[in-house]
Parts: sequence; structure tokens; C-alpha cells
Amino acid sequence: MKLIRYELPQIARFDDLERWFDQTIGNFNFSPSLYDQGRRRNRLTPAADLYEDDNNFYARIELPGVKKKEIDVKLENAVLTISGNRKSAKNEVEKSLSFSRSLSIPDGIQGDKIKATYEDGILTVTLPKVELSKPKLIEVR
Amino acid sequence: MTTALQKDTSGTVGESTRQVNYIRPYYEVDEGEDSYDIRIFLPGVNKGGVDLSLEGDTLEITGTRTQKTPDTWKTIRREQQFEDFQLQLQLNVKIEGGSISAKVDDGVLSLNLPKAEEIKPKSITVS
Repeated sequence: MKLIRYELPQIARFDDLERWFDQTIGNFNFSPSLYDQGRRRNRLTPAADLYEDDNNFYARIELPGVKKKEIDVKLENAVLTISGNRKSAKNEVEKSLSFSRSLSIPDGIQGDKIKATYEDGILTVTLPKVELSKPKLIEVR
Repeated sequence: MTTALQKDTSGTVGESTRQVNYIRPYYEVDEGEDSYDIRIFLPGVNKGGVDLSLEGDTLEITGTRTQKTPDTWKTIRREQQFEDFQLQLQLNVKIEGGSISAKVDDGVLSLNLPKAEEIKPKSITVS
């Protein structure tokens, strides 16, 4: 018999729980695309991915149907916030749906060199790493 | 053990026999006077990645992602799915199949399905 170390359950925020529930049960065999995920209080929390390579971090977020000029990207205290509105005209009545998503960004970012591109409904934010945090090969003599 | 497993799958499962999983996109339908408007959310799919077919009363939409994550990117956190999209809609109304129009804008496919003449609302004047 093995003893398994008991770990305190991680207390998650309620909306995280709701999202997990949606992902596993609510959205079974259904699209987990952003507009039906995290829908609450008329404000959407779109799903986001975070990647890195040697030179940059990349945040990607699916925002289908959102116009480029309706997207705001802000970096404050190592938190990247993407927010905006999705506007659609339906039978001459304009409908607007706002969304907001914040992501914690790792340290070592050149804050003044962040770039954002938007194509085919996907926003990609490129966050360049500072020289010191890039991996370097050091030659052994 | 991992190597043996990897070897095994690469040897037996070819690219063509691999099962393709699709996710069902979110979509909205609006009825107008003369037509139905359908908006299908296909993030990462541009004009070239959309495939539409109408067979009988089944409208099938396949969206292949044209924007992919480069292989050199390492994942730190992943919440979004990367599968392609497929949606089958059973049309229970008569439409003019030949004059469906479609456009793709910011990852949204907008379809306009004109109603067939016989189901359009008619106003009858009282004489």
C-alpha cells in the first residue's frame, strides 16, 4: 500500500468553475468557441491561448465577428487586457455585445514593443522578450 | 515504451486513414421577409477554407483553419480548440438552392438563403 499525499483542494473562482462545467458537460459535442463560453452578465470572457518562442510571447484570442477597430489591447502591471465590442446589425437594429479578457503575462517583456495583429477573427498579440530573458548559448572555452 | 508506441502508430496509421474530428461552430439564424440569414462563427478560417455543399435538404459547411499556430511556438496555456469546423443544417423550408450567397468577414461566414417563391408571404388584397 502506498500513501498518497493529501492536497488541499484548489479553490477556484466561481466563474472558473462555471467554465469548467461548461467545457466538460455543458458543451459536450458542441462548439467551445468563445461566444458560447463564459457567457454571463451580458459580458463575454473569450478563451485565450499563450505561447512562447525564443524571442517572443504570443497571446492568441478568437474574436470572430469583431471589427478590428473595436478591439482594445492594454498592458498594465503585467496583465494584458483585451476588450471591445462585437456589433452586428440585425433587421436594422444594432446589437452590441461586449467582451473582456485579462491574461497574466510572464516577466521580462519589452512593454513598448508589443504588436497586435488581427486576421480572420483571430487576434495575435506579440510580446517581445527583453534580451536578458532570451535563452543564450554560452561557449565553453 | 513510449518509443514503441510512437513507432507503432506511425507505421500503421497513415495520413489518409486518420480520423478527422470536427467541432460544431456556433451559429445564428435570422429570418427575413425574402430570405434566411445565417451567420456561422469560424475563427481562423478565411474565404479559401470554406466549403459549402447542398445535398437534398442538407446544407453542409466545412471550415478548414487557414491560420495555424506555427510549430516553433511552445504552448504555455491552451484554452481554445484547434480542430476544423463542420456544421450540417437540415433545411425544413424550401429555398432557392441555386442563389445562395456567401461571404466571409473577420472569421464569420454569412450565408443568405433566398426563400423559394412558394413559401414567401403573400398579401392578398380584399376586394
